[in-house]
Amino acid sequence: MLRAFFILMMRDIGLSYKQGGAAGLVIAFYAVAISLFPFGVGPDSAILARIAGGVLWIAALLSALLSLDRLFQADYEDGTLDALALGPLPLPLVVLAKALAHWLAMLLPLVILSPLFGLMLHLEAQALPTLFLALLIGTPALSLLGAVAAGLTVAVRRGGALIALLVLPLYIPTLIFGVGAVDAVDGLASVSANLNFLGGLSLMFAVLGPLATAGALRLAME
Amino acid sequence: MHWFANPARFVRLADRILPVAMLLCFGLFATGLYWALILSPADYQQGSSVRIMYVHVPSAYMAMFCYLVMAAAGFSTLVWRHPLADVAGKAVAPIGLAFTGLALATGSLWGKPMWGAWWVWDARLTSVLVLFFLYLGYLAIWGAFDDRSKAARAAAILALVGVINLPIIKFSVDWWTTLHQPASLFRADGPRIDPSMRPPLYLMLAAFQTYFVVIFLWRMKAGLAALKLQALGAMPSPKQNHEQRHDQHHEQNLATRTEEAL
Amino acid sequence: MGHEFFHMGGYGGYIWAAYGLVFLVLIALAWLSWREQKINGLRAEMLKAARSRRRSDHAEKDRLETPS
Repeated sequence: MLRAFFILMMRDIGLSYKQGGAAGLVIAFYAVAISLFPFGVGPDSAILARIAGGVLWIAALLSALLSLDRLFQADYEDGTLDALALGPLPLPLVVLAKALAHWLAMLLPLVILSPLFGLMLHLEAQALPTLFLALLIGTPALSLLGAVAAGLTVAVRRGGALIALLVLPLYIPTLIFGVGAVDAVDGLASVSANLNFLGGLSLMFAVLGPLATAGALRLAME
Repeated sequence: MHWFANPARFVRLADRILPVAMLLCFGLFATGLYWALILSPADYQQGSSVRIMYVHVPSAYMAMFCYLVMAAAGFSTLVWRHPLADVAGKAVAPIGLAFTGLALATGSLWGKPMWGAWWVWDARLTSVLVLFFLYLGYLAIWGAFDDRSKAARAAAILALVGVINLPIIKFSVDWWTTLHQPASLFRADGPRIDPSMRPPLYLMLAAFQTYFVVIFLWRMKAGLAALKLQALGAMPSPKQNHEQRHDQHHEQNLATRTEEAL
Repeated sequence: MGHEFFHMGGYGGYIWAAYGLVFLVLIALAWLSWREQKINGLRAEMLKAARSRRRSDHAEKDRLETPS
């Protein structure tokens, strides 16, 4: 069963980087979206440093969103999902494998690149490790919650805009604690408390997300 | 066979409750409004603007109450596949959306004289805004599916995911801002608003609650009648008993379809 | 009292806007819900009546055509 889990995950990661895969596009989108902010608010380094945490997190949220509608779509349309549902792996674990693959392929590169963009936005050097850690701990929640919305809309024509409406409000806690951790570096609040909450959210959605998504996929496949 | 036995009983019950609830609703609103606008004193700090509380707090309370009803309906849709639950979820969502919108609008109208701004990113106002988005998503899911039972179950999953997230969102928003007034009515250590303001507030809460009962029952009746209409298009009369229906089901199905085709 | 009632110590505009909006929305929602249940209920009843009439007509015809 563990083998099936890994094979599925590796297959999805591989597909994301094949021709037609979205991983490269998502990374490019992340870079472009972040570089729009200095044009929007001006190049003043104090302002940019102040908003850097929020900008990077919101760009990560939107990047995650961008790739969600393809999470189950292709497999649903060509029948692979039906085969997976009948396979040895329980459906919630199929979802978990695909969500993890989404995180590893799409979001982990963004997390690794984020200190670089933090520097470009004049984020203090001491806040960079925290930014990296917060994104590393928090972004799995984006993939796992996103899977729920992707599952709910997989049978819907033009589900992309609907996914945004469903999932963005649910991303708010992750955003708050993620930015909170970065802002807490030079403030009074506790970095570790914010990171703990982020980890808690990711763990909680690792359990609840696949269960809800499996239910949504079952009704789509009826 | 339970399909129609249960809803019919529900409609009969609703028809018995409705006149009483309507009368109660009118009475409560009349006394509540009189008390809120005329009898109750102005606040020593906020002046008369505190009177907005008597519609704002009940709106915000109903916004949350409706979401809980929606989630409970979603739960029984998923667990028991109860046909009334699908209808209930769809019936309650627009009511919740309306109350959430009213809570935001009255909060804004209260905020302008109190905080000097139409909108403040205060914890409670922001939580209600998120709730508003959750209602929009729920209604969008209902609209996105052609198949009614799939729409009901997808919406139910979303409602449950939302209700699990609501306390987390509330907590995170509280964490995020320290600028808010502490919640004054529903506190663990008891209400802290002035005793003279309690009777009109409770009266208005009761008035909103009975209003909800009336509208909810109307919307349930509308939803059940719509189901019946749908069923009458493809199924034999619900009055027939089970055995007869089983025999005649196929040919009548065919008959209705040819009728419609002609 | 008349003037002070509408003036509300200077907050009249906000208070009456809030109460007016609340009652506008509540009445609109009530009217829409009432109308929907009325229309759907009437349509369901009419359709049912039409169905059973047609069915009894059919039964009558069958009885006349195939006397057993």
